[in-house]
Amino acid sequence: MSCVALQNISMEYEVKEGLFTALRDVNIDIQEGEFVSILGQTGCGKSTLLKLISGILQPSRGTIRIRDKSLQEAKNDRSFGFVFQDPVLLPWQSALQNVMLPLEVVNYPKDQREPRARQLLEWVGLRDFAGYRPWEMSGGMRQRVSIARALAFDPPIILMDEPFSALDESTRASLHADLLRLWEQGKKTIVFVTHSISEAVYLSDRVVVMGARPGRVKHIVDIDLPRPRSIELTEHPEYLSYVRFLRGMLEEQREA
Amino acid sequence: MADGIATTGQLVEKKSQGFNEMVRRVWENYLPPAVFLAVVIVTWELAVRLLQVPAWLLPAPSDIYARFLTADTLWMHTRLTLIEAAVGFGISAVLGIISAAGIAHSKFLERGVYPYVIVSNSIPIVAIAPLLTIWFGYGLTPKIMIVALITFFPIVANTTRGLLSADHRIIEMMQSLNASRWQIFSRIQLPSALPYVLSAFKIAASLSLVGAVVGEFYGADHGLGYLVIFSASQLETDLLFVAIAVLAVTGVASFALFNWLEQRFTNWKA
Repeated sequence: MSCVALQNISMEYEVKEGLFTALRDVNIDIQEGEFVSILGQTGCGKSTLLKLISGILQPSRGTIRIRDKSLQEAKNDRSFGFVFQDPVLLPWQSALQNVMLPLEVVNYPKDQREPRARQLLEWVGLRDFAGYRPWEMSGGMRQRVSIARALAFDPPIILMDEPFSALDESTRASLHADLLRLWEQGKKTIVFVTHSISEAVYLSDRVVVMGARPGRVKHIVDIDLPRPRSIELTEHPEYLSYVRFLRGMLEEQREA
Repeated sequence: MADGIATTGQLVEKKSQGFNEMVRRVWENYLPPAVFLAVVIVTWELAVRLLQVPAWLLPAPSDIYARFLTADTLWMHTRLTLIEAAVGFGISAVLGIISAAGIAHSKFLERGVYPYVIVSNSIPIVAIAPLLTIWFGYGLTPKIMIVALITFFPIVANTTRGLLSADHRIIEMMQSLNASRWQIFSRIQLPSALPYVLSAFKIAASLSLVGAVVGEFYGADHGLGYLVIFSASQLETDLLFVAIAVLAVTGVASFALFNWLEQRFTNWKA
């Protein structure tokens, strides 16, 4: 079943010099339970795309359907969990309270909020850190809290905007593993924006390659690698050929 | 048992370390200004005595202290000024935060109200004080109004900035969950604004004393401001110094209070 369907999406802004086209004729159809990465350089409109999917921005043209419903209906169904580039936690609240915030907003049964939040923190490996404040935690731990928060009320779609780009290599690797584990258990649809080719190949079922000026879809590549995936996969020749292929595609457009 | 003793020993050591640490901090932070003050006071005292400066021009610190001990109406004046400052401050804090919430939430209010907030800050308060005395007489009301006026701007301006400082991404996340405006305001924006509000209170605390004293310059027969005017007109310079010293101490104390609150409640800012 189609989960996120973007049809002929264009996005234009009025600027001083006239009309700036951020996105032109974008068509993407994401299936239920699929892990899709949106790959591109800065300025190709990939973050704009996430804002359109979640209804924070309205497209200039085109239609967006979420599980065959309008955006407003999807919003009423509370379809989306968000993970941003920075964790964006409330600094005056503990990890537990941060995870409970969306539960409060969606009116989750009062007596189940705390058990639910504790369970989520355990899933992301932070069982013993529920009482910590964000500034008492490392960058990786903070990002884990923000993933727990995104999963809190069990939304079917998780939108992730370069969530691991600010982390160091080994922290990123362990978060990749945890994200894949949670995704395989939870059957969520994940839309994952990144500028890292290897990350996109490692995590995704499909990679949408975006081009810049104007932002558009250049290619959609199926990543036909076995699951569950582990770090050994990154030495696999097929994995490497996907990486090479995508790098070629990104470089070709830089020259153009 | 041996373990128990070892632990106790460690505890004692830790405690004495804590004590030493405290002594060191007091030494480093409070000793230099105390020494400086002592030097100034001793020099002042010696200069006045050796040069035989008349008391109406510059009384010696010892004379000022003696006058402080015998000034039996001092507490009554101080209390009155503090009441004016506190009530005016309180009114201003409530109105200021409500106005800031309005300005932060509505473009219309921002355009309609904010210019007048700035105007209220631009008119020198000394120019408005006599007018308020004409309208409201000699009681507490005009002084409280002056205090409220003088503290209003820093509170509104800072609170508005604080409310708008909340991370827009978390607000968008809340909106995508159909959070109510009240939820976004009370759970995200208001706590984000707290450090700004407290730093505004620090400024406003000092300003509120200025406001109360200026108010008492015009048509008052009580309060520290009145005491200043009265003692100056009678050339009771020692009493004038007493009034100034009390004002200085209250000012510093109120600043310290809000400074402490700020550190206590916004430790997450660090």
